[in-house]
Amino acid sequence: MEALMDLGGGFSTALTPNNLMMCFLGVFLGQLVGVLPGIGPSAAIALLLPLTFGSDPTASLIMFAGIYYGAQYGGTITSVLISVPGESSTVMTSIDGYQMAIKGRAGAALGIAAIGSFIAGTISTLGLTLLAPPLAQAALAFGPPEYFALVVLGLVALAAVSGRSVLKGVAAGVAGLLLATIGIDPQSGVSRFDFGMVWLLDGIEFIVLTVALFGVGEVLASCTAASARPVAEVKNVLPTREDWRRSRMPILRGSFVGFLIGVLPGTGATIASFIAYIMEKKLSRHPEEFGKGAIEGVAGPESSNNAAAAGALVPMLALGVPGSGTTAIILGALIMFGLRPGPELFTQNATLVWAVIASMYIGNLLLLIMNLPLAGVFARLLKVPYKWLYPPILAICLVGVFSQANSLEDCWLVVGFGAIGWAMKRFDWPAAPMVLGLVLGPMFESSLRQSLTMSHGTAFIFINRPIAAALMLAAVLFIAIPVIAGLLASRPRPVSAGEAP
Amino acid sequence: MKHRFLTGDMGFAIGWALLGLYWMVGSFDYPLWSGFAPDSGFLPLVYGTLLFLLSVAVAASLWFGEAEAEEEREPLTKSLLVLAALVVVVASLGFIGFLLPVFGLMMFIYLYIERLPLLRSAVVAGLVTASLALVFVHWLSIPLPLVTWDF
Amino acid sequence: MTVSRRDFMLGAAASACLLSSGGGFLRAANAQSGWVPTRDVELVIPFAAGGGSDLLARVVGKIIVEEKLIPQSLVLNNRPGGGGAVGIGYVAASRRKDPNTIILINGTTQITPILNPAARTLSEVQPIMNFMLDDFLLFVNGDSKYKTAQELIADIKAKPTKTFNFSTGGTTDIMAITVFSRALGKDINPVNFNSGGESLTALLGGHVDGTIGNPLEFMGQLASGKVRALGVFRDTRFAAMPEVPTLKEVGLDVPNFQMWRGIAVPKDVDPAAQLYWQGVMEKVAASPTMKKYIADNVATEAPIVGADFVAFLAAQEKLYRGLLAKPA
Repeated sequence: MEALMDLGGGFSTALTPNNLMMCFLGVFLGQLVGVLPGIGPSAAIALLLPLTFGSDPTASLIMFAGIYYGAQYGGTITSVLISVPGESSTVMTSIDGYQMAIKGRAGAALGIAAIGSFIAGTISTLGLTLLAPPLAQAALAFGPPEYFALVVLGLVALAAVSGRSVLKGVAAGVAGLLLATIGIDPQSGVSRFDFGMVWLLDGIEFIVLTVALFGVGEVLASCTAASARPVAEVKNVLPTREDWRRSRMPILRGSFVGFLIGVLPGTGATIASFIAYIMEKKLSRHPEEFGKGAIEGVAGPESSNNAAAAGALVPMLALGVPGSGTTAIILGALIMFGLRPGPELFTQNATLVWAVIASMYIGNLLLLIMNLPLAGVFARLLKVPYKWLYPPILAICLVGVFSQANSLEDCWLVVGFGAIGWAMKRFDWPAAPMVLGLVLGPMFESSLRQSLTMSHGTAFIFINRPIAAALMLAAVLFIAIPVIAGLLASRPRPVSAGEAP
Repeated sequence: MKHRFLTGDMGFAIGWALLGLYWMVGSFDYPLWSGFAPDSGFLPLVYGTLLFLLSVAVAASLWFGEAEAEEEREPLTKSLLVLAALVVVVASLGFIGFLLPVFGLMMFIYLYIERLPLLRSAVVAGLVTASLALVFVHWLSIPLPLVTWDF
Repeated sequence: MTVSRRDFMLGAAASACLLSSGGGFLRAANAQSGWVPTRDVELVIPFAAGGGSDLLARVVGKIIVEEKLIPQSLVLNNRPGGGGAVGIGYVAASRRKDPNTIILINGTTQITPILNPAARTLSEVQPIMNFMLDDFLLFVNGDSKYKTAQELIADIKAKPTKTFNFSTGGTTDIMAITVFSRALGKDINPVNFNSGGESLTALLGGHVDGTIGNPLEFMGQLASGKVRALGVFRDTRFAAMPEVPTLKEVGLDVPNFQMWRGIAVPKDVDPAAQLYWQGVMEKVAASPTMKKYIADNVATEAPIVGADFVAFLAAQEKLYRGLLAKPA
């Protein structure tokens, strides 16, 4: 109850015209940088930091938080319309969302993403309001062994996003892991597989690979048929009753899972969206529709990445430790404003903290109001024939990737991996596992090495600790259950073992 | 049947296998184990080996698998042209700035590849280039490489 | 998502449009060296937006513009990657003699070529001025049984080597652990994380026995008693934490170990321009905004100019090479 009282106070601060304006500005800017591939929320916040130096910290923080969760809405738009993920956390959306757009259902996809994001944002802000300190404390129980087990679970799930051929999917996933080893090894400082090039010392940036594989690769693969491709008929701009019925549970599940994953200091919106997608596919009664335009494949990950953005603020506000790359920068901002992020922020700077939390309820509502009409407008963009559309897509991919690190070499990488992405489409190799491998690779390697260093070399650390053991068990079951089920099912008629997983 | 080794499918799988092989060999440049935990070379060796084996398995399944009715694949010409245009554009970025090549890329595709009307192409390409300049150069102040005469 | 490899970064300077508004005035004092900037000045930041060094560069840029220290506008350009090697490589390749370019440098840029001889950094630039030094402290969890540095040191000495796990958040922390281990004569087992924040999280979660890190990230935790500071890796106590002893006081002979951050110009810039920039940077260092920034960061002001800075860097390099066991 005390929390609700504080929240009331927060609303009275957040609803002042100036703060309301900053909230609007934040979500609007977030939406904009979300749409642009390359530039993300952390870049936008860092860019604005010196401008806010010396101004009111509450208003600035309301704006920064707005940029952060607003970007999760914006990234969806390009993912759905042109298969170029605007943010790393919207990669999964570009799988089913883009397929829906091709079928003329872009409006439904964008609409359900906006509604799902709103619900998830509100649920997780509620979680932030009521449970922040105890949850943050519980999340600290996650050390390297727990993160390792979590990544193992994620890697085991590779097969779930691998489309028709599990073998090719796993191979592509391993290729992603392998690419993740390029550059300086953060554990030892040694540079690996840099081919003598200084610009490879930091490895291949995740957003470069996704823009290349999903954006440029898709253009190269489909430009041949550009003139023949029928203009998408934009029907039922908003989600239908049936869409809503199918998305209800994915949105709820995505919200809870996304929030919990966001609360863990080592994981953020990107991993949350992967897990939500895989979970929806596993739970779905028609998993064969995934990858061909299943609305659950949009609703789940989109809710999850928004919930994770609010979740990542839990350890930041309650403990003063960063929950993701973006919150690390917001923490830097707090210090610049002369505040001390830490467990006492909630008590010593209560007005500020509660105003920011209250502003998140308002910001999510603003985003919903902005995005529902926009969904219809953007969906009409697809009425433009593809032959007019794809050259600008290429231009945006190039400029967006350049802007991400001001690096011409990244533009070369986009062209190179774009060609590979085209070949992967042509020869039916799935691209999503490769991206997943690149994301999980660094975490897999560092948590493995940290765990074994901590345990002085014994692997028992992964089964001695209850959370790690439970996650490991889940990973084993994930593999074992389909195999056992397959064996049982095939016993009566042992004819077609075939390639079926 | 006898050309099965020469298909793109097979070539692509073998390409991945070679990449895996490169990582396997390359990983021996780094220490495999130090103290209690794996060192820099260990996981690259594991990944390389796995990728090699998996890709070989893919190649083998192509070789021994049922001869899929050769799917009608789209012709390559157009995609290759677009790819070549991208290469030329990126190569020129460092010398003549960002906006001119990007405009040129769109014009080339519209006029030469898609055979669209000149005027409309110029208007669309010009508008897109201008809005990119507005958003990235003006609003976000990204130092896109510019030409000496500043645009 | 793991926190920041190259992280996301903005292209450069949003601030460019804002910053440029200040140009146009030339202070007579600046003209005495005979050279003034001839076109827009580019401040190259060889790190991603949002980190400590990026913030310092932005504060420097803000002071230059607000106090109208140069007669031209200022553009910030982030060129992150390779521990500073990418940004400095950009300067070396295309700005070698350009006096209108200044570059942010820090301890990381000095360590990079020691670990990867192929990456060239400080050898490609002319150091102008140092602004600040970051300090290192020894921390344990607030629930730890060790109340003082003596208790911890005695226990480490009594147990077999590598019994104690310490989290680290980057190469500089690992070097601090090396300093500590050498003084103890017993190895600490370092568990390496990618950032100071992750290292702190591991300490708060009780996954490691202790950590050595910059005070910045720990101040809030310290105030609430979640972590405890046991000792300082420099010769004097902190004004902000007068009760925390230096490690020398508790009988451990550790060298003064700090990390520096400053500004350089391209290698082949002529002496008149070097002198000009030294004058500008001395004014920046004297500005109240800079003093407040350094105080907020719990760091130490250390204005070191020109030839003194070069000599200081040579001494640091020797120390670092010794700690990393990579002689020149």
